[in-house]
Amino acid sequence: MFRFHEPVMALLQMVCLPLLLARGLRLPEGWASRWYTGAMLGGLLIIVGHGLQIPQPVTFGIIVVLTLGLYVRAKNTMEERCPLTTDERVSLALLITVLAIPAASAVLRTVHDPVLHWDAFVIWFAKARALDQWLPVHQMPHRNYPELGPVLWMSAFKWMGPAQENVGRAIFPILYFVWAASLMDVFGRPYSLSAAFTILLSALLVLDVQAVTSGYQDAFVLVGSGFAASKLVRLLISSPRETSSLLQHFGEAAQRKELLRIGFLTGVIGLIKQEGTVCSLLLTGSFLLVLLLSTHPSAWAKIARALLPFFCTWLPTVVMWPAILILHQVDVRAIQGDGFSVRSVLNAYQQVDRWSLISPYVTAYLEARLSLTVVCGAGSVASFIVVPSSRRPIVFLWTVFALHLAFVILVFFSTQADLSWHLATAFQRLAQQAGFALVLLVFVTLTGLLRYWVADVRTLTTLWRATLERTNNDATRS
Amino acid sequence: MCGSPSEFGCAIAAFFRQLPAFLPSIGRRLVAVTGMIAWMGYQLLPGAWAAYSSSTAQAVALGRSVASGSFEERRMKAYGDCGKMGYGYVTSILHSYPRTDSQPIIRYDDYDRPLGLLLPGWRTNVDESVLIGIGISERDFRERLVANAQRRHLSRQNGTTLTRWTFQTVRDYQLMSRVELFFGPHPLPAARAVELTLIESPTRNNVLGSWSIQVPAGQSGPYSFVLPSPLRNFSKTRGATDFIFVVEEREASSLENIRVYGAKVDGTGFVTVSRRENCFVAVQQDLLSRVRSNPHDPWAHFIETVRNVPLP
Repeated sequence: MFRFHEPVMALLQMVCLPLLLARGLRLPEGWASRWYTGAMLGGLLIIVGHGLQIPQPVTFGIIVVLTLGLYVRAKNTMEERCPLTTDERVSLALLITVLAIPAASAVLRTVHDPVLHWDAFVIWFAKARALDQWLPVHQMPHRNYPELGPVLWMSAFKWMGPAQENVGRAIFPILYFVWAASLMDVFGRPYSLSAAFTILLSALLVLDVQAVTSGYQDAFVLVGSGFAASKLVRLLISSPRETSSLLQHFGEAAQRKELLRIGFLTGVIGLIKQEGTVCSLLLTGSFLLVLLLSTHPSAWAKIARALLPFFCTWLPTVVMWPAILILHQVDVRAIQGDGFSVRSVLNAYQQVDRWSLISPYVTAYLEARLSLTVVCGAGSVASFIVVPSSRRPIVFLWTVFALHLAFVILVFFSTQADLSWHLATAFQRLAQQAGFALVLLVFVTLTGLLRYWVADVRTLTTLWRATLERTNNDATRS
Repeated sequence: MCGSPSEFGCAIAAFFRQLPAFLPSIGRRLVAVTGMIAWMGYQLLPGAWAAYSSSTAQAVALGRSVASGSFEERRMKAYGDCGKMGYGYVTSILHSYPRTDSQPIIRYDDYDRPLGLLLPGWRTNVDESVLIGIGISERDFRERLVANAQRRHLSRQNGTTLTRWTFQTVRDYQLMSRVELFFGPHPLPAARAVELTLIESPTRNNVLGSWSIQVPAGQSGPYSFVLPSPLRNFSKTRGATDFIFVVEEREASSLENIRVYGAKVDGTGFVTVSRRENCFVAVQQDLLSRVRSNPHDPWAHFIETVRNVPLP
């Protein structure tokens, strides 16, 4: 017999708990950013409970009590939010209405298909089932692999049982579309129709339905990196260029809190997959590089000090998984089984002859995205010239994209597995993780240009109206 | 009035008279930005629209499919009954299985899958006394060619020749039973002593087996060496990982090829109790004897329930 309350409770838990947790922490931005942050924080708390071998019911109980406690405490001191204008409502309604169809399609695809693809089944579903049994970390399957995705997947098992794994897996397409919706916050309020339009365009262009629905974690790395990158882009857009103003800006209480949150969101990518740690390092490094290069070297130490809240959450989050492994006496150097070793990475430069096998994959990857990459490039140049506030984000995103591609290539120069097999099974998925940079590039450049275009058209309209009025006045006088 | 054609025309003329004053600041930029936006839209919109329209069509079809059937039916279709992962067959066999914390050995015609993840409960142990085969024919119990090894490296030390050979199995084989050695000049002019060592992989130096092989003089054609005891659980979910043979010969190497033979399924000591198409259940002879001597044994009910072939 179909028990209706089970999926309802599972969905309520998936949707409401993260929102309540985020509300309890008084996160300032829109619902999408709040929900995502709450979901990541909830997942992290489960990982901590698992890592410290706190019994599963106790861990879940602590999270529920903590969430409700924080919510009740914050409810009494909730800040008044600036109400949405009619234009903003129209923009949000357009975004949500249009995005709802591909989102529903992806969720239906997840609910329809059982987990089948090899790694999704033998690695990530196996981990979710082992987590459901709360096996100690050292007894987990593929124990070196982080477990944020399986934690979120498993959380629905409590209501539906593992036989209905499809309901828990629906979290992955939801995460993708929530990330897309959260891009509205990149340019801040007021929300514009142009931003809504560009989000739809960019999010649909890199949407790979199979990747987000199959249970593979590469799309989750893309979403996690994309979320962190969008927050860093927002920080770069909103930060003043002048050094003293920048330091003052970072010193404000609200900004310090924001830096704490961005640090957490950037670090949490390392809890998704081992490559997530690299993405986290690339994002942090590129952000620092862009910020420091746009200021005078004499201010670098002060800027680093001002960014301390970011590192206060980033560093503990990014080292959390290796720390848990060490706590359980698991060898952290074993990356993907025997696939890599420190020596194989250091000796990668000796494998130059591998380029002949790797290059066709790089070419095929770039050719498949040629149109999108060219549009991003041309749009970046135009936006760089016309929209000064988008310069630092554009440099940041291209740096991340290029470094990620270099990282993917390095992986295959240093792999100890059979190169042809490794390339055939992993290149596409690894390279796909950097798709967030293209989404953000389209979004930042096109929205920036559209905003300028709208402003210019408004100026011309004003001029036209003034001319018309003057002509009318002249006619009336004559 | 501004609505009359002549005054409207005046306004347009006045607007364009004033426009040059704005052109340096707005006009050129507006034209350029408009062009850029239009070009980006032209490039990106078709792709986005295609993704959108296909997802709309899919949403309708998927919605219908989700509403019309249960997830269990879709699992059965995806994981197969007596094919693919054998989900239906194994689930039906496990209905009368006497243990809830363990599962039988499950073998496939290509490579093993962790089917236990799909079964209800948490079955951590494997009963070595019960074997379920999915998509396995009689041929899979017999010896067959597993791989041809390729020579990768040759070196000489103190009059001894060391050669390194690699081979991949790709699929799972439970037994390695024999190797065939092909020598260059044949018939062999003199007897040869060959030391053959099998190593797990390039990154794991575990020695899986080591054999001293004496090839008699006059050997023509390949020399077949039957392993004194077959190597059990020889190849399991290895994909493209290389096995390594290290071959040591006292003279200059004339070994030209090595062929590896084995069987996909090790059926030694098992008796088939149930068969459907290419799926079967077999139990260890010891278990069968025990059940025969004690009809109240929990396994007796299981064997009686699944049995559909005459027992020896």
